[in-house]
Amino acid sequence: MNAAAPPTVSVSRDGGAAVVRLSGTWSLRDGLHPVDEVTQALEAQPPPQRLRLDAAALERWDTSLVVFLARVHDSCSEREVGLDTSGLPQAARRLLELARQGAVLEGGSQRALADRSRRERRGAERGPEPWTESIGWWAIHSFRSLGGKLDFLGSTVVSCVRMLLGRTRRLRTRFLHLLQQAGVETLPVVALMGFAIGAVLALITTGQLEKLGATPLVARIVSIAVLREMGALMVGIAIAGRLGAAIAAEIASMVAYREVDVLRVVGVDPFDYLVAPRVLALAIAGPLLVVYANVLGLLGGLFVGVTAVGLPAEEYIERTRAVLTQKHMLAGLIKGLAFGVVTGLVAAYYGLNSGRTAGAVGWAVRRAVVAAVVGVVLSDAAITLVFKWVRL
Amino acid sequence: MDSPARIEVRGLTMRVGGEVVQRDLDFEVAAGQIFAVIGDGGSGRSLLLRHMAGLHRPAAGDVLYDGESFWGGAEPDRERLKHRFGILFQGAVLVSEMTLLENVALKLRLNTTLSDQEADEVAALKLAIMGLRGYEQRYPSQVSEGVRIRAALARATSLDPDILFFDDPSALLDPLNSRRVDDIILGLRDATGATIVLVSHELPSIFALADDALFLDAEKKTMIARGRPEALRDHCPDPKVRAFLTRGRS
Repeated sequence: MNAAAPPTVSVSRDGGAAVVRLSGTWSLRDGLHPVDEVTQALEAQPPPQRLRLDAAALERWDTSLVVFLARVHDSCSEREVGLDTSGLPQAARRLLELARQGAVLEGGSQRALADRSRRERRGAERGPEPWTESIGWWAIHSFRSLGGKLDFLGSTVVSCVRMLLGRTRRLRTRFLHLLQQAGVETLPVVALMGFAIGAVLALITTGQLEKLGATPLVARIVSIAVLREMGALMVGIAIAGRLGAAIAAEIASMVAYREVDVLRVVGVDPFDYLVAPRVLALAIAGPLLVVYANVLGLLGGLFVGVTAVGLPAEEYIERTRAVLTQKHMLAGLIKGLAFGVVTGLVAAYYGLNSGRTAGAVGWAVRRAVVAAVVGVVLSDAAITLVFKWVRL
Repeated sequence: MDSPARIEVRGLTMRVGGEVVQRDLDFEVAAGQIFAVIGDGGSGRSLLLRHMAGLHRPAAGDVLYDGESFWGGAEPDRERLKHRFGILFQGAVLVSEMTLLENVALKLRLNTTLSDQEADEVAALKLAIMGLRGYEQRYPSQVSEGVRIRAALARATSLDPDILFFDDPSALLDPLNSRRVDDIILGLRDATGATIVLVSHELPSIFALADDALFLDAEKKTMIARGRPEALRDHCPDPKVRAFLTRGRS
């Protein structure tokens, strides 16, 4: 079988015209052919008035030829040299025409493209954007973004109130299902983490207290740490990671598949159906999970206190009961409520504000989990400061 | 361009989950033709396209390209034949994390020795041919359905395949965008001589584009008519086919 002849370009002069003869087989798989010979011919002295393309010896061709022709077309346009394409195969001529015709843009896109060109021209004329302008744009963007978040918060509050007043009665079954998902299905994770945190706290504090000869204090320290801080924080992190990701993914998928549009069309407010039930479910599940985590945390401490430290179980329990005051427990419950609400709001916000592509779901989950974890930690710090101030 | 291909479908039976969807399909697609696969819902039109494009193995039968068996051949031969195919999936699926330019250039980068810059140049040309100059750096989520479909067409034709499979390219488009996509498909065929197999239920597109058509019946689970769409509409003895092509007015 004969090997395909390589693509060849030869340039000659015919009076005022440069003639470019194309021959051989042109294939994308062999790469693109440079236009150097053509450019040299266009820059020869005296310059040609027109450039004629002759493809009589052309064998087979594909887009690589059209790319070459488009480059030749652009070189001729830059130098205002006429291009004669009558010697090309009709199909190649048509593809070149299509490729070099004006863009068929839609109305908004035409404006956007024109704006972009204007901006680029202005940028080229004026140099880099001044820093004051950058700060201004940042401030405007932040203000708009804040407005969107406040709007979301307001709509959620209204929907939650409507739900608490029983005006969304038909959604009760769904709410109970969400509550089960947020509460019961999260119990194993919280149990494991709670027990482990209590046990680890007991182990660490014992090591330090032994040096002071105050080992029995381990029960008191573990209890206060678990009740006031660690139980709630651990539940907050578990909620943010597990439920925040689930809520954001669920709502973002519904946005991507236009289910949210369907809800609006059939007259269901997405805030009533998607946001409020989830925020309220987490608001209820949060404190309950904190109680559960606290119990498991105390049991973890008791286990280590009795088995590793050697404290009598009765003594450990008695010392724990001494610090089981209302205010410590209340502090943990308030934090659980706050963490549930923060996670629900953040996850629903990023879910509802995601795009309509497959990648948008991943984006929403990533942003929701990071924002929820940061929100939980920051609200924990803020609540702790407030408790200190009101002496709770 | 390469000489256009001829497709032969011989005794093809398609099954999904043990259930026969279509059986004993026998037809040819002439070189350089636009061939429409039509039929009622659930008749397996898209599935037939997937079988022809080598994405789904048939329960029985074969597809031949220029007389070369696709399913009877070895895996390397099938891969070689697949390089001749360009496919537009239903809904014009584009990778959402890539710009339109990157979507079109991806196939060029993976299957040719072109540098990234050259692949981008070819991809930009393909987009320009589809009337999408200026859209190169847009993401799929930032453009309309019509633009996405044209970008998907640019991707399907990026390696200059001589056999193109289009699954409902005009679905979800407004009449003007649908007409524009039809014009592009006709232009592609005229300019490149490619053989195009088209699944569609858009009657204006079927009549505007198809040189030949095949009607699949969901109840009888086989093809019940074959011919030019206009001839099928006016003279097909099967009332179901006439009703389909006249929207039930025959």
